[in-house]
Amino acid sequence: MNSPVETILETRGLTKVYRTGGVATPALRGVDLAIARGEFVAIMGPSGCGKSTLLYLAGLLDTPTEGTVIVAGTRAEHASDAARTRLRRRHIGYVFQRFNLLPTLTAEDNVALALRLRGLPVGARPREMLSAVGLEEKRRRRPNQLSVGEQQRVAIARALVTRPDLLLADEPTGNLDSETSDLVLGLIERVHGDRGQTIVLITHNEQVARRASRLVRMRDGRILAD
Amino acid sequence: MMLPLANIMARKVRTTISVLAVAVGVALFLILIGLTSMLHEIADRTASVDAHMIVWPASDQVLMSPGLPAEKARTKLEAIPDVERAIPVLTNPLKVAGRTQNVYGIRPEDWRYFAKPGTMIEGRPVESGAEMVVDTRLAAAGHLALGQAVECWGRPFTIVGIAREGVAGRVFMPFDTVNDVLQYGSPRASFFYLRVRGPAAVAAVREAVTAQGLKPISFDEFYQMLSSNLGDMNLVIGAVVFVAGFVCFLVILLTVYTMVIERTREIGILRGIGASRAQVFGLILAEAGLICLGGIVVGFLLTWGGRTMILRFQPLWTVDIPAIRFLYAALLAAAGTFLGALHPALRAARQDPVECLRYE
Repeated sequence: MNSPVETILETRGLTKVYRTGGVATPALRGVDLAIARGEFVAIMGPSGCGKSTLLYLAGLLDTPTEGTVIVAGTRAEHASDAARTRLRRRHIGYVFQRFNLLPTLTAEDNVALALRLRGLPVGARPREMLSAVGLEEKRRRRPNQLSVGEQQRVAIARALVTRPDLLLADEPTGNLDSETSDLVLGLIERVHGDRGQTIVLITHNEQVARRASRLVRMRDGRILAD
Repeated sequence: MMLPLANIMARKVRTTISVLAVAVGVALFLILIGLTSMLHEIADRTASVDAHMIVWPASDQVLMSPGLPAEKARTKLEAIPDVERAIPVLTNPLKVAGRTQNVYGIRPEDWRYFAKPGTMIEGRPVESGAEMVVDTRLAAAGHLALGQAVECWGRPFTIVGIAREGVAGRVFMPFDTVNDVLQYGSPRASFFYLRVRGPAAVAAVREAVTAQGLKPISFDEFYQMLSSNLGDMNLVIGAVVFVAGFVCFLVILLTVYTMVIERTREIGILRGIGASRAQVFGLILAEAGLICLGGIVVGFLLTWGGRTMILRFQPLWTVDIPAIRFLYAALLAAAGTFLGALHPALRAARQDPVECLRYE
């Protein structure tokens, strides 16, 4: 008997319209997407196709104009900011494209901050996470003392230190050269392979997207192919 | 507290300026309030005389008045029922050890009304001739010692006693000597202290003194008179404290506002990695709070330094700052900081995380 597949993220008819000076600009037009626990999904599309908007909505940093967002079984589209923050803390880890770290903190403190914000004990976990991404030796360095690739690895360590159900990565290799990009993607693949971490990765790079186990193509705010 | 501390340490010049702005506000408040203690000290010294009221000539310009004929006025005042003693005092400004003081010319037999037992630390009260008693404060300020000769009005006066600080005058001389120096034909008194038979008799004595065409002022009224002077001074102090507080408020507002604008993207990252609005608000307030705390500590040090400097150059001034005033100063700084940081902190907390993350 097959065990039921748990859906960690689901969107139904997700629509986002930005209004600026009375002009409505649709960014998402009814996106339906379901991501199961343990999947590594790449969302790919050209600039302005709505993939970052989808990520912000999925990460509960923004609210949809219409439609439903369900994170780990909880509907969140009408949730208050505080309730969305609680859901985000419990289930989601974020990696942004650039300037990802707080510049005044060391690598270790950046990782520890994610635990502190949740009121969790810090202990040796930040150090262990930095060790897992190969940066234990540089844990006392500030972001400006690290290469861009190293900064992204610290950001990944920070996103994973709280053991989130879902890792959302917004073009994590967008600012990296191909060698460093390969290193960071290798790390993401390892996290997926070793831990069964659910990952949603946004990219506009075909080569990056091909490393995921599932590829979702977007254009003009819609899913083109899944 | 790790992130706010790291943030303020990352902007050392700006943090230092903000801390100094708060510190100057705190120090101004404390030193100005401390300086008002001078009037209280004068009132306390006056009230230290074992009497019930002061009697002045009725003239509106008491200080310019040539005073009262001492013997005649004393006889008339002591003839009033319930008056126990009329104590004449002839005062005159005199530079002693480089500092201008009002010399108290008093009769030797009246010394006991000016000094409680134990007040005289060294030597004896004045008796006659070119003698003087100084209080410990003037002695310390002018490096004066018992037996030392001090030139007054072009002639040497010998210090025959040193009295404990708190007596009515800082310099006492024999009544007749001061009259001689001022070349009054017959002895005159600038004013009288009046001792009556118990506080119940004060009202009736007052009336009788007034009926003699003189101006009686009880010690309570003297206190009130000084307090009303203090009231005028309080307006000035209030204005300075307001300006200092407002500058502190503006500096904190500007600092925190700049901080929030500068860190717009960081606020987005914080929200992304799990910070709630309340936590962002708290982080911004914590940064302002740390600046305020630094300002309070530096302000207390500036106050200590300022007070030390004032007393070094003006040793006869009184700058008493009770401990509770330090608490008030800290609360004032905290209030200014909170008000200054409130708007930017609220703005930071309310920012849309997506807008923050898109901020270049």
